Amino acid sequence: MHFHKAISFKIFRYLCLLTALANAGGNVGMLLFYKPILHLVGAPLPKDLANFAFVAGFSFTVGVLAFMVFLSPYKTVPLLVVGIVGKAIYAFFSFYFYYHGQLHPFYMIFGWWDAVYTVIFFLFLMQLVSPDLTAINRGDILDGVDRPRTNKALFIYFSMTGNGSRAMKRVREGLESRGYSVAEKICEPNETLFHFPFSLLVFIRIMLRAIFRVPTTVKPLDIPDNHPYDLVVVESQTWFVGMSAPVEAVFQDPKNKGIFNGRDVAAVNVCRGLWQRPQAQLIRWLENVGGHIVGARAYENPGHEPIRCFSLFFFLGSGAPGKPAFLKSILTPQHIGPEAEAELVTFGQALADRKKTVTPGVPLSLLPQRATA
Amino acid sequence: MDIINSFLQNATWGPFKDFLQLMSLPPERMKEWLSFLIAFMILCELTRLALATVFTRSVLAHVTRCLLTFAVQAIVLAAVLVWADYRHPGRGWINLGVALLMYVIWYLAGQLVLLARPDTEGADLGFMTVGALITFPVGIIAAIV
Repeated sequence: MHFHKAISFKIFRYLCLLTALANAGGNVGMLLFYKPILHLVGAPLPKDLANFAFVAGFSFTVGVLAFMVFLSPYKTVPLLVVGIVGKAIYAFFSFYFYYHGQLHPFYMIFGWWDAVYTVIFFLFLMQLVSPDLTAINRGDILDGVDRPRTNKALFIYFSMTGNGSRAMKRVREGLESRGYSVAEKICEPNETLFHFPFSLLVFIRIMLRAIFRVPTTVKPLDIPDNHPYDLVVVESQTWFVGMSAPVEAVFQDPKNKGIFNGRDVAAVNVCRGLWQRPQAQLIRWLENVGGHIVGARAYENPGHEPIRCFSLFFFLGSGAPGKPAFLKSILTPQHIGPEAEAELVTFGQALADRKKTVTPGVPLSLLPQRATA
Repeated sequence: MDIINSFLQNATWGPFKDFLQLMSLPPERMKEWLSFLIAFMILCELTRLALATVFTRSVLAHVTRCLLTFAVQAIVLAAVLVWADYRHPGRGWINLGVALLMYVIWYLAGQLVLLARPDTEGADLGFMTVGALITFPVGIIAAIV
């Protein structure tokens, strides 16, 4: 993945303060001075003063909401969602009634303001949710739990087309270069559905199941809770915007919880392009079973869109890369590129060199403020 | 019973009928439908990207995100093109230009998120192209027929 430069947390906070002042202060001002203001801009006086006051009151409330978000953004994320809905609806009706000639152009200032703030709130929301993922996607390797190191790692993954195996091979190289020994457990689905190459019918079945998150089961991993591995690395691909069913099945089986509970865990995702949700799903599962996340990496296959997307379709349809032959020169590879592979070796090394935390099991929820403030 | 009858008889479909008319892209109301379609494309894409890292176990959130990857936008635009051509024949090619503009807006909305979050996918040009393969053939057929 590429780590982009983004608008700072501080700017978004102050944009919230700005609309808080505009909404709360502006509406008090409107109620006090609506006669001279509307006279100044040539707008008619409100026909229904009660409704005018109600709208001002609701708009004032959104100002209070924005102020609360300004004061404590991470604790008020749901308020931001309410703000998005409120401002989007206000903007929608402003435009609607303006176009129907029932609203003086003066009121479009508020319509435009709320339309712009709908987008600003959306963007701020995206920055605020799951900031722990931003920290680990930046490349941070977090401190591990305070337990004896055995220099043994366990890999758990399911690779249908070989891309995941390729990625894990590189992580293994990195770990082994730092003195780790690695054991692998490949998830074996109980259903024969999950195989490659596949027919169109099987593809459609896998696709629909992936979209509707229909679970599957895998054969027992047979790893005792008191296993000797001080690090567990799990890899998952993207199957229709989500993590692959066989890997998810590992977490859905409560018997496997002990494999991860209280251990250092890391996540690797490889895919065509949509890595963000599968990564979030994998990490949340790892946390859910008591794993202590120390690092994660997500990689897209190389190439430019839209040919990369169509290369994947051709690959899945034909069961082999570089087909059809007449398109071979433009089709993109169906595995991660050399740069990603090199980074995964470094990732493995960094995992092996990870520090121990002073306080075991520091919740990840404490990390965001440190990472983004 | 009278109260219920009166209640139902006095209900209005006015806004919905007006909205349906608006989606036929009448030339005299261009600002209106353009504003609405732009807002629709932006909100769909921002919702899709906002759902990337949250509600990770929710089937509803996942299906919504899958649908917003291209299907909803592409099918809605295709339906609008057919409906618009049915109501205002002869504007099919102009409407295709409008659809193209919506795809540009869609892309820009996705890329906008890169400004907010450093670890995000942004617009998915690959699946947008798949969407275009739904919208534009339908629009072209509507324009020709």
